[in-house]
Amino acid sequence: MADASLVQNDTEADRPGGPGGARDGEIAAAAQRRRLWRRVFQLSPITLLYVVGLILPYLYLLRMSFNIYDPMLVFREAFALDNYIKLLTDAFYLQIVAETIWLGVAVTLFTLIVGYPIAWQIARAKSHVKSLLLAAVLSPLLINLVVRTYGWLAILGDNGILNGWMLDLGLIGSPLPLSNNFWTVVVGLGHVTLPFMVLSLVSVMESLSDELLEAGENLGASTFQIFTDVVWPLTWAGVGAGSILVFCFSISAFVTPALLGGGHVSTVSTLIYEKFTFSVNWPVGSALVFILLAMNMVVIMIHGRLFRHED
Amino acid sequence: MSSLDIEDVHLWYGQFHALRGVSLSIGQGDFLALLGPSGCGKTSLLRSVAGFVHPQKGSIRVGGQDVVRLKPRERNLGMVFQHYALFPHMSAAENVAFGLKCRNVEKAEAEERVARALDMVGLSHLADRKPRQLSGGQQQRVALARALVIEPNVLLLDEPLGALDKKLRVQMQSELKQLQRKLGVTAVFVTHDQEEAMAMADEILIMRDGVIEQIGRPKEIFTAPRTSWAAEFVGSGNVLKGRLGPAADGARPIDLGPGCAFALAEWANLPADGEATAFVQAEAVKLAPANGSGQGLEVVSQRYLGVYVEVQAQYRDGVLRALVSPEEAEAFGVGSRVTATAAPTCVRPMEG
Repeated sequence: MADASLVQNDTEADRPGGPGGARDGEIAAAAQRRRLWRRVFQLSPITLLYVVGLILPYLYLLRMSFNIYDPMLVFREAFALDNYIKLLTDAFYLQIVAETIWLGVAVTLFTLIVGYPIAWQIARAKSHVKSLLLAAVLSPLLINLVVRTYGWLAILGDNGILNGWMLDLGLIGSPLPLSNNFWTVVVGLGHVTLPFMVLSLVSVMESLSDELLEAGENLGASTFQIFTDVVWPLTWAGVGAGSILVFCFSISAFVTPALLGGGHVSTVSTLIYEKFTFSVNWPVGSALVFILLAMNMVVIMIHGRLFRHED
Repeated sequence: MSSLDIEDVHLWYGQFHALRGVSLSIGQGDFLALLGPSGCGKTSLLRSVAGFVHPQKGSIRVGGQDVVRLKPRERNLGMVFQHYALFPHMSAAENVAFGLKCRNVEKAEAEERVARALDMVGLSHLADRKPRQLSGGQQQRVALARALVIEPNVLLLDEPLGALDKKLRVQMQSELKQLQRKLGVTAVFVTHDQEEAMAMADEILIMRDGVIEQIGRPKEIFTAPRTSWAAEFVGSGNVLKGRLGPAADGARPIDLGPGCAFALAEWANLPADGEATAFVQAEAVKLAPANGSGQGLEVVSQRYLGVYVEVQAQYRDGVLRALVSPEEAEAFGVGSRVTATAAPTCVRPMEG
């Protein structure tokens, strides 16, 4: 955005030509060159970081994904689509892709249902209460990922606090299977992604004026009607923004599914890890990286369609 | 279309006593303006009627029915909000239809009523536009159509013209007034603009610090404010304070120092000690050139207002304002000396 506006400024200011002649044109061109170099200079650290830290590894993995796995050599140089064809036709892999998408959907719904009322309260709260609530919502991001994940195990595990209490109270005879399953992973991921959902929602809810709610009430709408006809459509953009953040974060997450799933929850991310470390199948692992990237891209495109800005 | 009766309404926001025993009564089809400076309680009173705030004491009756315990949606009142509060994701027609949808009005009938309401405010051709594609005045009309289409018992307007520019505001004032009269709907209008209140209302209620300062027809408010505070707020004239002299020619002169010759035709209700407060409209003040230099009052400023010129002259206790025609004003340039008087019937006693 900022860059686009800079470009616009330049063309406004430096429009060459006119009766001023060649000399004016030269001065303008020199000014434009200076500005261009300044911009290149200002953007160079981030560009360097992206090229070295993201683009080059991705290019390397892209090349790797066309190689062929070889149990003896790790991989054999090739330009084959075998890995992709296998990943997109083999029921085992498709099952994992489906489970990954389902995980993303489940976490998104979880954060939406839990986060929506919280965001509403934050948006409607007085400023000092608001900062307190925001700090509380952001708190999961302040804890180390691994610590947070083991924290959930300490609560939900077979020997965890929850099962311990229920056993002591005689509510249950043997520990309930609260950990090492899909829903444990949903809760764990929901915990860390909730701030993204809440912050996205708060920003749109804050711009919803009280007058609109009062107008609805005055015109005879029930609380439910005000929600469905006024609040929901006007917070839809926040729902979209929050959902895409949570969904993309969730389908790409590794530590939480790996630790809270206890080996029972396979996602594309855990599979990539498995391919690179245990089975040392780099070509298939690399292809999986691009399957995951494609999944994210598709979701972002769907979001662009559904939440296209009007005007 | 109902009468509105408010009796001894008290409203507290925590410790703050926003409405302190407000009572008023307006008949069916009347147009009442609630006028006062910001923080006087006029909006609180309107919101009490609408049901958005809940007075701790008193009764509010619409068409004889006490509505204090009813939810806003049960009151059937049309409201035009200060910033219109149009639903931004709905077209003009959908906005207008919203109240009918909430009332489960049959689709065909609803469509017809929406079309009629939009036609009434002259926006039929813009029915499909979203609010952001409409100008301020057009949004205003949609808001009005939306409030009227539900056939409200009372129409409530919260400074609805405040966001419009002056020319459009004046035009909307007369349109709104005509529409209200045509439909015969009882209306309550909140404003801090005296001119707007004068131009539109059948009845004006001036509020100050949560109490009613004065209630009356525009002409009464304009020509005979009850208190000096009301007079200064309305700003239509001069508050005169002085000692009354003995009656002569059916009027008692009020002493305001040299150069001023004002007398009251009515003094029965004034305190016996002879100290009086009176009001005279700026238009009623007659100026004449003073004889001899150093005599009379000095003109300190002139302000050109179009039809009138406002001349301000320094007298013993302050500045006296007079409205004169531009031709007359030439004789009363800044620095010139004048004498001031008014017909005794135009000088009205006040409560102080």
